[in-house]
Amino acid sequence: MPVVETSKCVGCGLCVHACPVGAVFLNDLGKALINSDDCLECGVCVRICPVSAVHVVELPFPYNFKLMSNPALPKITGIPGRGTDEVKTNDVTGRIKRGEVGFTIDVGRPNVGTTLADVVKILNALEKAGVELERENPQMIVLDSLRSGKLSFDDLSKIKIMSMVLEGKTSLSNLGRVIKALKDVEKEVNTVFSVGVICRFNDDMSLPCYDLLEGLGINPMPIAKINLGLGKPVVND
Amino acid sequence: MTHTLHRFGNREKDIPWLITPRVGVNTDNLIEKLEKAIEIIDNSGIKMWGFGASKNSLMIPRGKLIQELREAAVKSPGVARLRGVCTSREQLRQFLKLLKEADLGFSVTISWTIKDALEICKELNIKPHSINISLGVWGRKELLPNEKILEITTMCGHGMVSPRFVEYLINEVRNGRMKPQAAATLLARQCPCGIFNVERAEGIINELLSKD
Repeated sequence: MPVVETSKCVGCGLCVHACPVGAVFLNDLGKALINSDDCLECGVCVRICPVSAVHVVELPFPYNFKLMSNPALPKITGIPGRGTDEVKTNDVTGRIKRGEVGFTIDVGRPNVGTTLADVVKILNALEKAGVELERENPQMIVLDSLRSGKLSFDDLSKIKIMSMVLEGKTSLSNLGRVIKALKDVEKEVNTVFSVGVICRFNDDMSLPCYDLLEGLGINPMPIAKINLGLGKPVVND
Repeated sequence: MTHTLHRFGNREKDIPWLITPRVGVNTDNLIEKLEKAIEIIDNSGIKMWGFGASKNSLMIPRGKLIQELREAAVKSPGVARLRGVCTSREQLRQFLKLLKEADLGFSVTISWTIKDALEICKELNIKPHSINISLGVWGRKELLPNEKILEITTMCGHGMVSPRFVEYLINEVRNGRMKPQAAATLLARQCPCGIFNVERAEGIINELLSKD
């Protein structure tokens, strides 16, 4: 967790204002202090401190999961990055193929945060709806810890992080079942989640999932993240 | 991660992009190709960029940023991913044109309005491969900050730009203790990836203050 070196702290208060969850305050001596219960380990206070008075101290399992909140620490879980390349390198990996649909569920985003218990609720809902969860994603470490008995659901409900990206894929024909599962689980979680749906372009640049979504009563936003197909060697299956 | 996807508000002049090498697929001559990509960033007039979700062009001097990128490319090639933001359609057009000509073999994604993105692809004879479409925010939306604040905070998809900090800095500007550009720049420094659009943030701050 971040610890303030009080002899260095000049009491400017920047970390107090910048902390996304209000976990930092100034004590009676005008020095910054961090409430470890509220802290999500995002690292904002470390980066903003003008005199480098805030340092990260290693956390024991399972509290080291909280370090996933910090995008500048990419290998906390042993899996590079916070999720996978999702659509970013799909032109050279071909992870999401024609006839398939991928999901990216940003739990806790934007600006709300999430417990790992809510993460697991959504993962369970996705899996039950027939989504093949992505193995190379930190989500599996959380899920495996629960299923192996290393952590209880109660433990997970005490660990709050800034966000976690859940990923998986299924067939296009199963899209409706997954959307229904997400509609159901959104009533059960105490946070927000941002949903992304990945598919391949058809040769005529139409999108196979678009009509399906509209048919399910979902109006996609007009924005998207588009892989331009400039990667090589390109996968075209 | 999908940190560029779910940005709120008017996106006309706000187009984050990612250049992503894939280890074991297209990372031969990685440093040379990354240097070429940086040359293209410069020649397109892009001011805000970073790499590996660790440093951006406002956090450290340019020379040091490039040196750290070179070192990362040797030590941990998976981190040597470039991220940035274009602030106009013309800038994006130039950027993509140069990237296509350079044929670096890296994957390139842009996050923008689908209609505009497909138009520019057509103009440049680029055939997009895949898409991640935003279905917006679900769940307990009553927990979200107001939409105008979200227009600023969602420019860092990792949530490093705090709504409280935005409100604090707006108040500093309101009280004459800071200029809007300085406030926007300070916010951008919290987003280590380099995808925070400083010009847009400055515009939103001015817009909010004009309603005082």
